[in-house]
Amino acid sequence: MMKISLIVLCSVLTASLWAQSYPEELRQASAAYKAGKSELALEHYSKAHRLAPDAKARFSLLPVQITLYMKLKKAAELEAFLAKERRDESYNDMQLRYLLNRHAMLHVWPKRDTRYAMTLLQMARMLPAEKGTNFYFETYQLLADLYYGQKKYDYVIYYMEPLLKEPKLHPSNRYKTCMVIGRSYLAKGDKANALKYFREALEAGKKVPYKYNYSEAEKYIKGLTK
Amino acid sequence: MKKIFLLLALSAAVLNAAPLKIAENGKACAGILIPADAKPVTRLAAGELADYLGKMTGAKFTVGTQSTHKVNFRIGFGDASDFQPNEYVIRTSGNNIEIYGRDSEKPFNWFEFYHHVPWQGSLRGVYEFLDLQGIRWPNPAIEYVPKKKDLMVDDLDIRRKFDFITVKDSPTWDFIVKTKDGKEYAKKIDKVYQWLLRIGFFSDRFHLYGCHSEFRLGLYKDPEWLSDPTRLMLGFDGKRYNRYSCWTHPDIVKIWIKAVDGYFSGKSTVEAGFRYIDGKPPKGISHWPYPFVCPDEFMVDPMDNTSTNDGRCRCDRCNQYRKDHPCEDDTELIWNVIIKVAEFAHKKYPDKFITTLVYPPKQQLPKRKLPPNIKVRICLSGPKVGFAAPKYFEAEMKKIEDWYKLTGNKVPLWVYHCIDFGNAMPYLVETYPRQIARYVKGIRKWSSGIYMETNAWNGCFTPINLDIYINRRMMNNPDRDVEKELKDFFKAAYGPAASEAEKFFGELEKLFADFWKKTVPADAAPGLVVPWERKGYETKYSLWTLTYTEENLQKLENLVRQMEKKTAGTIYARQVSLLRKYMFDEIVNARKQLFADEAARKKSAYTVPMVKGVPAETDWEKAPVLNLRQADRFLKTAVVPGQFRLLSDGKNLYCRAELTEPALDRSKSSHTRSGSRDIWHDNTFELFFYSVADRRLSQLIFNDLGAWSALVMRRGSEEWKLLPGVTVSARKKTDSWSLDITIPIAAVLPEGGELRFNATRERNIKGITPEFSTWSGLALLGEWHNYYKLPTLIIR
Repeated sequence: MMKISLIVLCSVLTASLWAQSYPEELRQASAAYKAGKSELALEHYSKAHRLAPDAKARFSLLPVQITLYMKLKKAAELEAFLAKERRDESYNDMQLRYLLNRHAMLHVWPKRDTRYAMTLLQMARMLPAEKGTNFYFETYQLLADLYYGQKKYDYVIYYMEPLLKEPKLHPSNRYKTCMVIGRSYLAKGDKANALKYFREALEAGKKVPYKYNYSEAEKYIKGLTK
Repeated sequence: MKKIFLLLALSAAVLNAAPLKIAENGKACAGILIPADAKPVTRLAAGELADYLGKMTGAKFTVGTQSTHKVNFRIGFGDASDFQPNEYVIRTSGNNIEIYGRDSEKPFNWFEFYHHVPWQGSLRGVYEFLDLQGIRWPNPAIEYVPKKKDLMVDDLDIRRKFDFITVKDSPTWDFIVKTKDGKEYAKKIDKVYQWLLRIGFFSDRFHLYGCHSEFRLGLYKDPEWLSDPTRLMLGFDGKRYNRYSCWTHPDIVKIWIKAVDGYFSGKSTVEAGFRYIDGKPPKGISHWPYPFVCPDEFMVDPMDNTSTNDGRCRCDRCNQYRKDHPCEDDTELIWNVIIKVAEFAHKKYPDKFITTLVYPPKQQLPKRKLPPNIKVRICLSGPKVGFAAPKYFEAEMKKIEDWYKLTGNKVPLWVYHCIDFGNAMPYLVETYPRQIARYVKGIRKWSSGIYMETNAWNGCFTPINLDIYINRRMMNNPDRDVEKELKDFFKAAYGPAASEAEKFFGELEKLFADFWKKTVPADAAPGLVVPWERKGYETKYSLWTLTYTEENLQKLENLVRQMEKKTAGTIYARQVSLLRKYMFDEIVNARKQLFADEAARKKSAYTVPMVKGVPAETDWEKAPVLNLRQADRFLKTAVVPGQFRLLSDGKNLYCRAELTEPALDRSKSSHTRSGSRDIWHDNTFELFFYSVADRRLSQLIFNDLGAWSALVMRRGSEEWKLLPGVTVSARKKTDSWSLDITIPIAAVLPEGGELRFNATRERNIKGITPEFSTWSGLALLGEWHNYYKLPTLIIR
């Protein structure tokens, strides 16, 4: 009798484990996502996240999970989720920086707690990163947005100008960097420097290898050279 | 079978007994003959010979179809119809010195002959002859030509065929614009090609050119291909990635066969059905764009993986394939496709080859038998493997041998001499010419050559010059003695300072080994590109504390100074100045910049006065006053005064702050209870503590109502908490407020060791722009969490 019970127990456990396998959860999540069932998709992605074999697999799920939280307007849940993920020591510095950037973003757009956003971004800054990469750029872009919103234009320039020395900065990121520096100079009343950076932005925008809208730079240049 | 053979057959019947006189007392005694219909590259070879013989002897040598001299160089006369590329003969015969190989009919230009034209035997022969006379070209800007007014040539009978047929490294078409010091070496790129041709040319265009051809097919832009998402890689996240294919989808074999058929049948990309292919065909080179430029080869190779995408499809079919064909990576899965494509190609185009890289995610030897038309390029750690445990060197050699045996072809390699790739380890000069020589000797039996991926060190060529030179010299002839090569290099490049230069680079090589030993576990693998698992700040920082220490850099500085002294006023002074500017000063400045903050931080360390137990008023009166100053680096205005004092009894830190506030009635403080995470919107005084041992930053925030909270940050996470034992009492006066704070040292320094500290203030008063002040002049606004800028607090 004991043996039969054990066998039954093992079978039940195996079946439940199988139903909860990582690929299966992924499959169901993906299907729900495609069907527009965001709530269900998030549920399965969350399960897949828990069952993921390693940090790399977990990390790869984050963008879609964040998108779904946002879509479902679950800002508080997303905040808690990101805070929890950031405590996961198995993420590498680059992955952690991504999480900090995303978390800060929640407080930058819309402006909820800019002081907290600033702290998160300063924490991100302290993590080693390959200069010029997207995640590296994103930290500074968010910092610049915060300072620009506070009309601290000198700080925007202080943080963003060094990025332009990074040869690996993608042309689209170079464009954005030059634009925010240009706008900051303009706000400070320094038209000559503003024009210089808008022109640099235009040059970078034209180098973006895909279709890219750099009309804003053109507009500023036109306005300043009238 | 040895591929390089050097025959010095001394046969009295054939060869002259006496050496041939080329120049005497600065006058030419020999002519240089070329055929009347000499090919352009043959003419160039003769011109190079005349030029350098002239530089050596001071005589004027003429090139022509006739000569009045008894002794003559005859360039390009021999029958080289059965020669391989780069094969040549240098032979004395009677009064003649014959130099010839198979030469291209094409008009000569440096770019073309460097990249695309391997048939330049006579030129190679001339360069070998000049090399035998002691001429060296250490880099594009400098050459060493021994001066000999009298020049005699002994009997020669050399026929050389190279071990290696492909060698490439990073100096290429964008050398001048891509490197900070490129223009110091060459004003025009032709000079760089000229240098590379002189020190040993091997064409790579015809031999396993390129990588990751899947991406180049442009399928990710092709609406027809994208119409079925199951053809695309399914990622971890359940998303399909359009730049990667699912390599078990039946259409993947079909699409590659279509590409191979189209290419080998001479169709254009559009005719072959690949209208979205990336790039344009290089004119006169191929009818398809790069990397499809080898006439007899077509590369079938997956898209490159990234740090967030391993390039492996996770669809059910791929997962099932992995279960059915167990393998460490996707070798079996991807080779299943390549083999089918190769089998097709073998039937229809029996003299053509299918090529691919041995690179993640297919690094293993496939278990299946390969068709005979497969060639691979293996991606390996390369010469730096010599710094890892010996088993890794042996494993690399074994891997090359295994692939040679499996494919029946000598295998070219792709090795990595770029530890600063991705900013992984900037400033560490990667130089190990002896390891390069050892590696080249090790691979010669099984390998057809190397592409050595060299990153310009911090954007400079100067530090990698030596290793590129030695790599090419050794690939040219692996029998060369690397010690002699090094001596020749330093003599040629640094003249009177050769010995110091040799010591300088020797030191750098030792320092590289030293850093490796100190930061890479003894049994750890060398990694494909870098040996460090985490490219973290700490590893990078340790370069300056473990290896590039002040003492070691001083040793190097002394050598540079000696070199400067010895070369002053000579042509070699410039080479030394390049070494200083683009290498040594770069290192020193990087260190200075890094340590300037550290020096200032150390200088501003503060020793807390000690008291017995809780401080009495008299203790506070004696305690030094620490003032707060403007924290906004862009504001020169004075801040409302604020000051504090610190005392300690060894267990607790006591802080008394006196903060002037003329508008205290308009304070924004609203929190009366401690523990709120919104407290920093209040009118506050803040203390920052950084515990170095556990890398923990604690930010304690106190408002003018006596409430407080603490944010404890560690790596990427933070936690709001009330640190145990912290007490605070606030007192308001008419134009100021004060705080008495007690902090148990264990609460902010749980593991002991170094404690860093700063105090700041944020005046949040209604109607006034927030005003920030700080105690440390290093940790200004925007840097408050930067623990590299917090002064050390000494509590004895």
